[in-house]
Amino acid sequence: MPSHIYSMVGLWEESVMSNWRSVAVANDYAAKAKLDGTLGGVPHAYDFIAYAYLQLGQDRKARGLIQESMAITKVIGVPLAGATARAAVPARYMLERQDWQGAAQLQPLGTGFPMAEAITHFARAMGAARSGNTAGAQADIEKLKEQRTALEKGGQGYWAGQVEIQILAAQAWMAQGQDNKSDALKFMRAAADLEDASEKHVAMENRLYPMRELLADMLMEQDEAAAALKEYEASLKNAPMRLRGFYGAAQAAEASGDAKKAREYFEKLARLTKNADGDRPDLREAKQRLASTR
Amino acid sequence: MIGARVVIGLLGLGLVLLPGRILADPTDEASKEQVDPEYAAGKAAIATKDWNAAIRSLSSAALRDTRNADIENYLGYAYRQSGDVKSAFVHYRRALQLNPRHRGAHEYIGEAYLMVNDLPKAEEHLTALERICLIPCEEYEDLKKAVAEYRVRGGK
Repeated sequence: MPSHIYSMVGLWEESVMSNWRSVAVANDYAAKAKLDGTLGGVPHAYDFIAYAYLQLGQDRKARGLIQESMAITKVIGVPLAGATARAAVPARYMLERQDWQGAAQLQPLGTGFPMAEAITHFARAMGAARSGNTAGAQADIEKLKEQRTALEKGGQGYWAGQVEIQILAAQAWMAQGQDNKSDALKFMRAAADLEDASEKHVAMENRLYPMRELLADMLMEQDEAAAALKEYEASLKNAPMRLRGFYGAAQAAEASGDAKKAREYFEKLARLTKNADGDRPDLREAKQRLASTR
Repeated sequence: MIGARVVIGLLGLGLVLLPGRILADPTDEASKEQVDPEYAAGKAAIATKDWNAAIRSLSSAALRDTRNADIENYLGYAYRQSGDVKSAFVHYRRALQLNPRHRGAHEYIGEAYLMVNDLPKAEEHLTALERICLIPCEEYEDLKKAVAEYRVRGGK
C-alpha cells in the first residue's frame, strides 16, 4: 500500500493524495456493491490523511476529518483497523496540537476493541496529566490497565504490550506534573525504549505519538536541552518529517547553544508548514525566530 | 506479554472484494489459541491438571508456532507440574529467549529454581521481574512471596 510508505518516510502531500484515492476507490466499490456501511479501509485512510495534515500544519483540514470519521456508523471489513483509526483521528488532532483540555475531554467510542479504546484513554490521560488534573489522569490510567488486562486475557500479547507503553507514558507525565522528575523520566524512557523495540502493527503503522519524542519533550521540561536534542533527533530517524519533532529539535538546539542547528530545524519546520492553515503557537514562534535571525 | 511477533499484513487486501463478499480482516490478530485447537486443548488440560495431555497438545502446537513464548511457558509449567523439572527448564528458557520480558516465564522459572534449591538463580528472575514490572504485576509479588517462604523454610 503506497500510502503507508509515504507516511513512513514523511512524504505527507503524497500520503494525502494516495489516501484520498484509496477512499474514492473504497466508496465507489461500496456504492456499486450496494454495501450498507463504510469499508474499514476508509476510516483507516482518514487516519493517515489526518496525520499527514497535522504534520503539514493543516489543522482545519484535519479537523474536518474528525467529523467525517465520526459520521461513520457501520464499518464493513477490517474492523480492527477501522476501530483504531476512528479513535486515532480525534486523539491525534488534540495531541499533535498540544490541546490538553481537548484531549482530556475526548469520549471513548465503545468500539469493542480494547486496543482502540486505549487510544482514547491514553489521549485523555495525557490531556489530564498535562492540564494538572492528576485525578483525571489516574482514572484514565486505570482504564488503560483494564484494557491491558483484557488484551492479555484474550491472548492479544502484542496489543497488551502497546497499551503497557501507553500506561508508562501517561504515568510519566502524571509524575512530571507532581514534580517527581526521576520517576517521570524512568517511566517515559521505559515507554520510549519499549516502543522502539516493538514492531509496528499495520492498523496503527503511524504510531499514535512517538514515545521518544515525548521523552524529548519531558527532558525539555526538565531543562535538559542537550539530552532532549539527542532524543528528538533519534525520534526523527524513526518518525521523520514530524512538525513537533522539528519544533522540539529547534528549541532544544537553541537552548543548548547551537544556534546554527536551531535555525536549520526552524527552516525545516517552515518549509514543512508553508501551506499551514492553522494558528499554532509553535509555528508563529518559528516564523518569529527565523525573521529575527535574518 | 509483549511478543516479538511480526504483525504485518496487507490492509489493502480488505478492499479487494468481490461484490457481496467480504474477506477476512488481515489486520485482526486473532488469539493464537482461537486458531489452533491444540493450543486451546493444552490450556484446557492444564486447567484440569491433566499434565500429560497438556504436554501432548502444547508440544504439537509448539511445532506449528515455533516463536510463541506463551506456548513454551505453558509447556514449562505442565512439565514442572508433572515432575519433569529438567524439561520445564528447557521450555521456560525457550520462552524467555523468545520474549525476555515474559512475566509468567520469569515467575515460573524462578519457582522451578527454588524447587532445585538454586536460590541465586531464583533471585535473578525476581530482579528481572522487578525491572520489568514498572506497572505493578502479580508475577513479581508471587515470586517474591515464594522466595521469602523458601528462606523461612531454610531452603527446603
